[in-house]
Amino acid sequence: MDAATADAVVISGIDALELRALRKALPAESLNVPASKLAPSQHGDLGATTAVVVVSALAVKAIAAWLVKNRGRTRATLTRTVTRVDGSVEALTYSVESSTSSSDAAVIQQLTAALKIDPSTLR
Amino acid sequence: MVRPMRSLTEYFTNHTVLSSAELAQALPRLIDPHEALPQSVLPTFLHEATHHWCFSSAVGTTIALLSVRARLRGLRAIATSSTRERENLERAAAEDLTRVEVTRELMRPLSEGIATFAEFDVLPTIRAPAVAAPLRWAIQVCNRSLLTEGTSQRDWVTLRNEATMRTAVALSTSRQDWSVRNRRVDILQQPLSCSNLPEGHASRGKEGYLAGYLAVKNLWCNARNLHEYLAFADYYMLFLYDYFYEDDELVRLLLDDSALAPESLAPITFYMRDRLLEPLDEDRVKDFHRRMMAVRSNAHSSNSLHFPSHPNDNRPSAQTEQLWERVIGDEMRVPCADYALFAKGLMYGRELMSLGSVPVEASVTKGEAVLTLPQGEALRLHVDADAPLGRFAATLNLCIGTRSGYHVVYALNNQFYVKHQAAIIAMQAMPALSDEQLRVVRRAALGRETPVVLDQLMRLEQQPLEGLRELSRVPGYLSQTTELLDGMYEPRALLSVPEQVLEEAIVKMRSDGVYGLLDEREDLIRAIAIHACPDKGKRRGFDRLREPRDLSLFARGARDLVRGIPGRVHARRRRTASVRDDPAGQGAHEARRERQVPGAHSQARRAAPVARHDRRGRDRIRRTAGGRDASVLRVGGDSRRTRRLLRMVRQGARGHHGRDPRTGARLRQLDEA
Repeated sequence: MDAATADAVVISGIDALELRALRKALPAESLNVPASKLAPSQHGDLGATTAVVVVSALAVKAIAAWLVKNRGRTRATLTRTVTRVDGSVEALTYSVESSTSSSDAAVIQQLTAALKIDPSTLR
Repeated sequence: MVRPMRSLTEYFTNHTVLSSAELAQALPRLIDPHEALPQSVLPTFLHEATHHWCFSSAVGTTIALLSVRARLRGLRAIATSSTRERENLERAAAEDLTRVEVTRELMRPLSEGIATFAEFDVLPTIRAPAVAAPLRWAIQVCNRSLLTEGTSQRDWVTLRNEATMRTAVALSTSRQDWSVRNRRVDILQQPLSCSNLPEGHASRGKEGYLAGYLAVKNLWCNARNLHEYLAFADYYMLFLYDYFYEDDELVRLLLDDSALAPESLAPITFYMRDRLLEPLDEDRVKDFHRRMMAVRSNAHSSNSLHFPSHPNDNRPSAQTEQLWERVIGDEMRVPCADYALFAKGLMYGRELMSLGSVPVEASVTKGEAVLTLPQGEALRLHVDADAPLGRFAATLNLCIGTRSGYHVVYALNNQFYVKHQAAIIAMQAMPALSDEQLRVVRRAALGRETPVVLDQLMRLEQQPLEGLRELSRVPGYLSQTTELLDGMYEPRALLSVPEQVLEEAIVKMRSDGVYGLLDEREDLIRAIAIHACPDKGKRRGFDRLREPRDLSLFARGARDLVRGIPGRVHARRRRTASVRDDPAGQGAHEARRERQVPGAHSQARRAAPVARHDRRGRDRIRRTAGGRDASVLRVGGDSRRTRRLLRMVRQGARGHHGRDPRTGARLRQLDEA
């Protein structure tokens, strides 16, 4: 499935190690990392890495695992792109709050609520 | 499709794009000259400001001017009817472009290294004799309202110190944020290799971030043992700028007309390699410090908010004019002068660093321009004398005047024509500028718009330009230069790695950087990202902040800020103090210093040419160059050669490397004095 036409979750601001973990957890076809190469005449910072994950039960489990593992960060921004029947694409942005004190279940509950999926699919 | 944004600076136009989402949100607010830059943007701002600063140096300006001259000569080549003249111009254009591309490529890891060092490690201090321009700009954009309050010389010094320390605290706090930590992790797992990585490799590679960053950190070890003041990261950053970017010898080599490529590239390449690999010259360091102390005493005697800075920082126009005459002067006396005039505008435009722009609706009446922001807020500015009256779409630009650091807001008519001053509707600067200074700023603001016109001109002539055969050689030279980078940067980057594990380290770090070196241990690399990157200079910054004598210099607000520093820093300070007081550790340092080998530098210098004649490397470069003679590019980058080079360099550097306990003692004495 192409990430541009399917329901997808955009995870922005992840580091290289988190990207490696996502690569390990997800099949190659459901993870897309848009290139951010500079032109030869340009110099700049590395920028933030963004991963586009095609929504599936496996993908949601991987995202949940990533969120639970990275509870040190206080907020993760997920953008869900939804393709409607008429072909229009809508981007919905959710913030999932997590902290060292929040439980695994609380993080997963926020995620499933944000993505509007049945929590039972993650069991 | 999602496109990740990266902040960037273009070396030719020196245009900067800051892609931070926080900055985009804060932009309308920043139009008010008293509002401060958001704290979270500071590390990225410092990264790009450092690029901007370096590209407007003598070396950076020369490279940009050579690019302009290459285009001018190319346009003249396709316009001439004489075959001989066409060939000569074509060759000259290719020569200029080759020098530009080769030098830019040779300096790319260094440029990224200095910018990354500024982003993660540098803090402004009040003790460094002079301030690096990016830090000065950061101090100015973070403390706009504070810096307008002074009335006397005593006030100015106190305000300057307070603003400096406030910025240091803001910068330290912003570096604790997870987004900055993520970027540190990204840097540490970048490949050490600056060459092309195998197809499909996960890392971005080739851009030389890690090699440049580690090289800069290792040079620091060398530098701070030559002069105690170079222990300050901000002063060391200024030294690096002076050493590599205000280098008259490199400018001379770039403009030397006595040979053509590949022969003309050899001196540039070897000069850069020697500059990186050879230990720093003590006399050069002393000369730099003497110049900066002279600058500081002048700054103290002026009755204004004058930050002591590099002498060339305050005369960018004069420097550009001199170099323009030297490089482009002759081209102005022949056809294509229109292009040259636009190009001159571009050079002036390099003096402004953009923070961003906002679309506005302008309503201009006599004496006043009302600019309506997208959010509906209205901003009133004094209108320019020549501005057209009426309502039209405009763009409000926020810039920092490179070098002087003034804050400029100007509105530009979207339907403008570059040669018309009427393009600028209104302009406001802070602090208030003289008429002459405003004229320079106006010229720079218009100059920033000329790249669009230049691009259009070049696009019209694209097809005939692509037919110039000599220009097709440039990519070949460029790829040969990329092959050289590992041989130049790896030895300097890994200077502190023990010899018995060096080969293993090189193999592991080539593609995965420090992540590979740590056998892909995520916890270790995160620990390094959090705790090791804040170097000794930063801890010293905190230590000094806590000293009661320093605190008494500042107003109550600053003291409160200082008191808010997280408890983790206290623990780190205690650890540092315990290491400092360890007599066994000092003894080990003393013993190491006694093992210095006199005259080792000259031995290393004599031995260095051996590496140039390595047959395997030469053959490989020949293959890359398609069989053409590439005698200029003879330093390869495989691990065996790197080891040999490294051994030679280490022989030369022994005695300068490692921490000198006297430096710390001397700094403490200075503090007490």
